[in-house]
Formats: sequence, structure tokens, C-alpha cells
Amino acid sequence: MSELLDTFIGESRENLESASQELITLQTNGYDAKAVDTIFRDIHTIKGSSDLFDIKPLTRLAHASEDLLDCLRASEIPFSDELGDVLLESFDQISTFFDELEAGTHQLSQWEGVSAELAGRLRNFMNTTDAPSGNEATQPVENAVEAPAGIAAPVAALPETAANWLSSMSDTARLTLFFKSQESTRLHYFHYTPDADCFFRGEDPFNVSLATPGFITHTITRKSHVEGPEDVFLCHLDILLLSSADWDSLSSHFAYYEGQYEHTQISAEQVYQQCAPLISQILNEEEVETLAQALENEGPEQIARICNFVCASTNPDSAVWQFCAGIERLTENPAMLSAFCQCLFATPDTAQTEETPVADDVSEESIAEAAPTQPAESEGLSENALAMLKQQETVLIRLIDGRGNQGALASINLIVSRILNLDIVDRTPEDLLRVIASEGEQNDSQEAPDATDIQAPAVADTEAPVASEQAAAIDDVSASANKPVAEATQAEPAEAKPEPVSETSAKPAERQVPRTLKVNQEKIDYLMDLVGELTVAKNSLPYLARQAEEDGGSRKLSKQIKSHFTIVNRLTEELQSAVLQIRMVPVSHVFQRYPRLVRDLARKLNKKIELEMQGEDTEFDKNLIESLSEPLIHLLRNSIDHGIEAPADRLAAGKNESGCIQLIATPQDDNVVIEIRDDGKGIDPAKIKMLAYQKGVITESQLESINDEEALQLIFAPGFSTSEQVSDLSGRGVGMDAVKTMVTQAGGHIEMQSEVGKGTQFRLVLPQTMSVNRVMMFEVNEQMFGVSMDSVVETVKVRPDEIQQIKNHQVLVIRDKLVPLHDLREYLGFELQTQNVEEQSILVVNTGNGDMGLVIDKFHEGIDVIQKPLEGVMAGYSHFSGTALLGDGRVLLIVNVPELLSCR
Amino acid sequence: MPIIYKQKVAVLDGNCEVDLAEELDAWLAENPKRQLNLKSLTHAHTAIYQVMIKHGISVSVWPADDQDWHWLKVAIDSKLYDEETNP
Amino acid sequence: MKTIMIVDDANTVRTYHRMIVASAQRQVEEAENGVEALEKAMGKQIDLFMVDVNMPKMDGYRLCQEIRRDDALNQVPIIMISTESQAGDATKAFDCGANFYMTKPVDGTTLNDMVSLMLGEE
Repeated sequence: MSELLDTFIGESRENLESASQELITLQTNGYDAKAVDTIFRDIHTIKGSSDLFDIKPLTRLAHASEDLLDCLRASEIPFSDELGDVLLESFDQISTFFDELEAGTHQLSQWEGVSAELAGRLRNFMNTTDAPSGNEATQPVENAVEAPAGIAAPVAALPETAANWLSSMSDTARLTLFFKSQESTRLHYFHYTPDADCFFRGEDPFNVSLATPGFITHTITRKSHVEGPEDVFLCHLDILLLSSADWDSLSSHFAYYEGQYEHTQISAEQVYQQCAPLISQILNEEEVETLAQALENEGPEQIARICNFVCASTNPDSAVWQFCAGIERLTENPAMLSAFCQCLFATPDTAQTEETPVADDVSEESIAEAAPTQPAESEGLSENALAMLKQQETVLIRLIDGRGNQGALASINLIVSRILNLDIVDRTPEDLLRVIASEGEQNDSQEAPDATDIQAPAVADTEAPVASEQAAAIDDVSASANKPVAEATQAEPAEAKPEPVSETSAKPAERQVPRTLKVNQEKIDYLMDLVGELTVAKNSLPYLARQAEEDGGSRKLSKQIKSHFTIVNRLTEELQSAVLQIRMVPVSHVFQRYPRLVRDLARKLNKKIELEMQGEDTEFDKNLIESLSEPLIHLLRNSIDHGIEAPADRLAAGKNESGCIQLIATPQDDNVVIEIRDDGKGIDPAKIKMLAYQKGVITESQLESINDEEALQLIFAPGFSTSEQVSDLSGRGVGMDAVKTMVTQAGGHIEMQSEVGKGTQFRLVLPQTMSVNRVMMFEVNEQMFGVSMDSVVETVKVRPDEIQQIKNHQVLVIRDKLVPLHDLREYLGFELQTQNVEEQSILVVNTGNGDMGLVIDKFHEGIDVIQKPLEGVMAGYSHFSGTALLGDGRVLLIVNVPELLSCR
Repeated sequence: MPIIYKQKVAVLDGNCEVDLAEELDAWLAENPKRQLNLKSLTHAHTAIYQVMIKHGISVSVWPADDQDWHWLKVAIDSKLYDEETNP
Repeated sequence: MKTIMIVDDANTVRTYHRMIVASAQRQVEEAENGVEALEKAMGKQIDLFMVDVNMPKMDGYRLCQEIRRDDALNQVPIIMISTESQAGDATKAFDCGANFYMTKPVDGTTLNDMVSLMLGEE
């Protein structure tokens, strides 16, 4: 090693010389940013190299100099002659150290004092004192294998006191801490052990702790050894403290208490590990199921929406509420949210974490100690090899996300092939991930992998929440498990976030012969959009055909266009229908969660309940399924909670001990009808009436006059269900009006029937597919109407005198064109306007027959609605093309303009 | 501010410094059922808190900003000085 | 015979790393910064790069990007070795095209193992 030391000293002397020269010049000529930067680099190099040798005083002094210079170049502190002098003194001292090293006359014990003193003076300029006992670096260094949060490197264990504290915390406290750690990435943990006689020094430990910058929480514990327990003026207690502030402020705060505390930096991953079981448990709760899915697949807005919903229907004191509130706050910062999701859904290295030798105190861990050791049985891949693979995995994931460097793919191929002893082939990132993942699974299950034979695990645990999303998905796409790598690369690469179109994941038997494709949902949505645009675009063809005839004089051409239009029209409609079909999934997709839900809830309430499901094959639009799921869950809960009686009560009433809930889905025309029937105790209209009256939903006179049927419907009234209907399960009533709103907004409706003592039935009718139209709303006679946005040309407001009369018709001249006007009041059968208005609102539309102006009362905005055709008695009225429900419950009649105008 | 000692309740007001600890300790030792009213307490020295925790006292009134005193509640409830529960 | 290129502006560090990775089957080249590294790599068969972050003229991140852009060099594995140890640095290294990230001072055994793996040695 002395050769290395010589090299070090030789190089460092040069750097020192150059730095000193620059510093003197600086003092003469005044502050110069570039010069400071150069000096910093020189000292940085010295410090970096000095780390290789175990000469603490030297490193300490170099480090203090480096930190001071760093502050200077960041302009955090001003340069002064005094500062420059101390720096020079330090440089000279380092040079002296080198002299002694070379001469072999160095005495490290003497060096300690000198170094500490100088370092202290240097740090005074930064207003910080030296790092506390045992810590060399001010920023404790992490494991050698540094990796992005939660994915690659195994996580070191927390200090014992910290781990104990965290596990003794209440769920809500731990969750609060968890979310704080997500926000701050690094937390600082202090084990503050004030001296027993500290009071006599005027110290006040509890308050020091409470006043800590970035204070999150602290707890008090007994000292391990207590002297004079009866003496109130001795300190008998220790404090465990967590803070989110930066180390500089913290070390400054604790400056006077050196030697009375131990400090450890704690990473978000470590906190996550402590909270993982709790979070996992919460995510498995029924109320949070949609949230769990959303966290994997949806964006921040959707996640926030769901959190909001769950919070509104759960007990604020519960862990679930806490969790959702925390997630909702996280959604405000998409980067953090995505880091959190990565953390949640990355493969937790539970197996590997246990194998890795773990240091008790992260802060004292030097890089050398962090090196993973080889496992005793080296049949599998070595720790290092696995770590290397994990890092390749990280890079690949970033590549797929579009953030990495595509040029790196070749080298990754090389490395993976070499580690796994495969042929070097030009694989895609997705393939590489699959290869790595199957290797990783082999190692987890501790089978001895035959390095030349890549086997996907025989039975893919497709439901395991632990398995990495990519691994499971990509496994599904490949054909069989035993084919060599080369063939597997020809399998269709799945997207980074695959969304199963049909439930391949639920049928392991079919994995060998896939009959289905996993397709990214975004692709389908895009396809839908294109089809939508095509639909609109094709509509102008007849119009153009007419133009060709009228302006161009070509009737033949016009005919040809029209005939082709018929074909295009039919194809477009079929295309739209086919794409919609792709999005259809069977309701079993949603139903399959329910048996377990019912079982768990029933058990919690000590009730016996059987769930019967029928019609699970009924198909439903994927997008609509979620809007279906939440209301159903609420209804099921209500049924279990308030509907089905306790076994004893049931027997007393002459019923079976076991209650029955039926969940039936049936297609009906363009709709799907879903019924939930229970044979419970039914809803008592009298009670409902009383409750409604108490809540002010109905008046006293209504209390008398309302009949039983109307009374039952009151449960849907807004303001009806609040804390009165306290559920044992969720601590707060579940809003039937919320359920109703969800259903109607999805374009459906909900009915309820109930008989006291016999049971209750809910009937949800929902449109099978979603067809969204854009309409422009307008008002006539204070009623809202809509007209397809496709046909709207423009909106104008004119003064009455601008309207002209030509042969009994009212017309308007717009940009030299004559636009005939039609007063919609007349056509819609309202009284004509008798008063004079200052200006008339006119909606100019074109439905293929030239522009025309509709005289209306007021314009409103354009909205997207789900248009439903008129049914029943109204079906014959062609002047409305359909209806839509507005968010506030009003019905919008959508006008079919040509039809309306043609009938007088 | 000095502590006001009533029959069964001691009222801690404003800022309570280390020197008040001894008297409080003695007073609480006389009758374990005595309680503390912390409603107007703004600041107390560690020694005072230590006495509270030692006796596992019962607080009759907590200060208005309830949440910030959670750590103290936990500490008092955990009977830190009780050899049986905290060996 | 495989060739490793060590790129670091500190002589001491280059020497140290050379001491760790040199062997009968491996040859070691050195460069002080990114520019020199690319110059020296031209026309040569390099099997592994060990790259420091903080260097004058062209830093480690930039060097990685240049290596990945080069047709002749882009499949060569890169280990990035840095004094920094913040959460984003590894990510940044990966995004620039590094395959592995370590912080100084490195553990000799680990470094040697990683080199061995990347070179595909038995």
C-alpha cells in the first residue's frame, strides 16, 4: 500500500499547492467564483482520496475544509480574510501531515487534537459544529449499491430502539410518519440520552427535543440505568426523536448536546418496511379496493377522487381514513406519488433482505461493511450478481418509461447474458425484464437454477400482490415455460402497464395456450377516439355531395358520393360497435371480489350469509364497470349490516339461520340490469319517515301524508343518510343518495322495493355501453335543451331590428349570407314571447340543409353527455334524438333539428 | 408561575420551571388520587414532566392544543416507572 | 485479454482502482477525464469503463452519454463510481447510460466481483 500512499501524497501536494496559491490570490484580489470553485475541486480530490486510507484526522480536516469551500461556492456564506486565513492554516497543517507521513514520524493521537481544533474553527464559519460522536461524514453514506427508492438494493435495518418504537406506534401515528417520510425522503432519528445531571447545567431535554427543527414526533423512555431514582433533579428519562429537517439545522440545534445522543439517518424505504404490513393490510380492505387498483393504473386526479370518496364514507379515526387522506395529499405532488406507487408495487426483497448481513446503525456503517457477503450455499447466483441484475432491472424499467438512455440496451444485453450464462441476443427491454424476473423468482424460492435453462415458474402466482407487475404480465404473454430463450423473444412483448382485456389472469390452466391478447387500455381508448372522430367526419359527406351537385353541377358525382357514403356510414357504425365490444368485459370481473367481501363482513358481524351470483357472464363496458362496483359494494354492505338479521333473530322469525343475498345480472336491450335481493328484515317505512322528518328532509305535514312507497324512496333523498345510520363496519352511514348519484351519472337508474320482515330488493339499470356525445345546451322558456355539437355553426346575439322579414319569414344576414330564423318557442309549443327583448340569442346550426338560425332564450355551455334514446311512449317522437341526465338530476332533451322543424 | 395547590387538584399556570419540581413531587406523593390541571400551562421544564410521568398522574384538564400533548399522555399512560410493566 | 478503462481525475483513485481490478487476464487503461477517455478509446477494444462523476472538461454523466452514442462503444458496460450518494444520483447515472452505480470509497471485493460479472469471466 505504500506505493498508493506515495501516489496519494504526491498528487495531493500538487493539489494543495495549487489551492493555496489560488487562495492567496483570492485574498488579494477579492472574491472570485471561479477561483473558489477550483480550490474546492482540489480539496475535494484530496478528501476523496484520503478516504481510502484510514487516517481519520486527515480526512476530518480535509472534509471540514471541503464543506466550508462548498458553502462558499454556493454563496451561502461570505468570504472574509479571516476565513481565508483559517483555510490557509488548514492547508498548511495538511501539508505538515504529509511531511510526517513521508518521514514516518506521524503520530495520529497528536493529530486528533490539532485536526479537531482546526476543523472546529472552520465549521464555525458555517455555524455548525462537528458531526456527533462516531460519525465521520456529516451525511451518513448509504450502502455501496445505491439504488432508486424501493426497487433494487436491500434495505438496512433500523437501530433497535427505533424499530421498537415504530412497531409500538399506533396505526395512525405510524401512517402519519410514513407519509412524512415520503415527503421528506430522509428522516433523522435521534436517541437522546441526556446526562443524569444535565439539569444542573441548565439543560431542559424535553423542550430541546420539542423545539427541534422539523420535529415530527418523539417518545419518552426510561434510561437503561437509573441513578438516584428518587431525586427529582436528576434526569431519569431518554427521548427518541424523529425529525424531517436537514442535517445542518439539526446538528446546529444539538450543538451543545454532543455526546448525549446518537443520530441515525432513516430513509423512506426503511420507514416503508416498518409500515409495509399495515399498508398491505389497509390495501386489502374492501373499502380501499378500488383505490388499490387506481394506485396501480390511474392518474393522480382519479386517485384523489377515490380517496375523497373513501374518506367521506369512513370513520376519521380509522387507519383507512388516515391512509386515504395521506394519499390524497400525496396526489398534489405527482413525482412523490409515483415514487410511492413504485415503492408499493416493486418486488419487496423480503427473501433477500433477510439474507443480507445487516448493520445495526446505518450511520456508522462504512462502505466496507456494506459489501454483501456471498451466501454459504453458492448454488444460486451470488449476492453481487443479483445486485447487478437488480440494477439492470432498474435501468430497463426507466428505459421502458422513456426516461433512460436507449443506447444502454446493448450493454445490458451483454451483462445479463454474461451473468446468466446465456447466448447474447438482441432482446427488447421487456424480454430482458422477463429473463431477469424469472431468474429472480428462482432465487427467491431458493431452487438451484440451472443457469442455461430459463424456466418461468411452473405455476404463476397470478394473484400474489407481491409479484412484480411487469414480471407477472410478461410471463402471461409468453407461451410455455420450457422453451429456450431464443423462442421466447419472439413472443409478443407486453406493454409496461398491461391491462387484461379478458381474465387470462384468473385461469392458470389456459396459460399454456393463450387465446387472448393483453392490450394496453390506452390503445383501446385511442382507437375509440379515432372512431369517434371518423363518425363525425363522415357526416359531412352528404353535405359535400350536395355541394358538388349544386355548385359543381355534377349530379352523377353527387350520387356516387352518396352511395359511397352509405357504405362508409355502415362500416363506421360497425367499427364503432366492434371497438365498443372490445371494451366489454363480463361482470364477473367485478363480481368475483364479492364472495370474499361478504364472507369477511358477515364474519365480523357474527352473521351467517350466503351470496348467490347469477349472470356473471353478462358483459359490460370496461369503463363503466368501476362506476358499477362502488354502488354495488355499498348496497351489499347495507344488506349485510342492516338487512340480514343476526342468526338468532332469524330463527326467532322463522327464517333460516343463514341469510341469503342474491346478486343477479341480466342483459336487457342496451342495458344491464343488476339486482341485489336479500331476505333480511326489510326497510320499515315508518322508521324512514321518522328519520327523514328528524333530519328535516320532510315536513310534519308530509309525515302524515306520505304513503309507504313514497316513504321508502326517501332513503335516496340527499341529506337523509348521515351519522344516524352508523354502521358497525365503517363508522358512518353509507349514503344512498351517493349511490343513486353514481348510478344516474353513469346513465342508469336505481329502484328499490322492500317489505318489512321479508327482505329488500335493489334494481340497478345501467346502459351497457357508454356513448358520449357532445351537446350544446340552451334554454327556452326556462327549460334546458341540447343540440348535437356537430351541427352547431355559431352563436350570435342580435338586436331585434337586425332581423329582417322576407316573405313572412324572419331572416338574418350574417356575413352576406341569408340565414332563415326559426323561433324554437313556437316549435317546442311554448307561448311566444310577447315582451320586447334587447337582444335575441340565435343558435346557428347546419344539419346538411344549409345554415339556419334557432331563436332561443339563452345559451349555455357545451357538455359531454351519455345520450339515451327515448323509450316507451316517447319513442315515436322523432323531434328529440334522445335524452341525457345532467349532473344536477335535470333531464336534457336533445333536439333533432331537422325533424323538429319539419313538423309544424 | 408558581403552582397553585388546591385540595385535590394542582393548577399549573404559564411557565413552570425546574425549581417547582420538588414540591410537586411531594404533593403528588401524599395522595395518589390527586390530579393536575394543565389548561393554562404554556411551558414546563423536563423535571416537571418527569414528576408527572413518575406518578402516572391523571390530568383533569389538558391544554387547548390537545394534539401536541399526545407524547405526554403516552408517556404517563405507559407507567414508565412501574417495575412490573417496564422492567 | 480484456481491457478496462478507468476514468478519474485523481491519480490516487486511479491507482487504487487499478490495484483492485488488474489481473493477468485484464489490462488497465487510464484517463483523467471524459475527453481523454474517448480519445484513448478510439480504435481500441475496451471491455469495461469505470467512470468517476466529478471530472473537469467532461464529467462522468456526459461521458456515459457519449459512449452510448458511439456505435463502436455503446455495448460496453459502464460502472459509475461517485463520491455523491444522494437518491437521484444513481437514477441520473442510469439515465445517462451507466449499468452500475457505486459510491466511494468502494469496497475492493465488491468492485472486483462486479467487474468480473460484467466481463463475463468464470
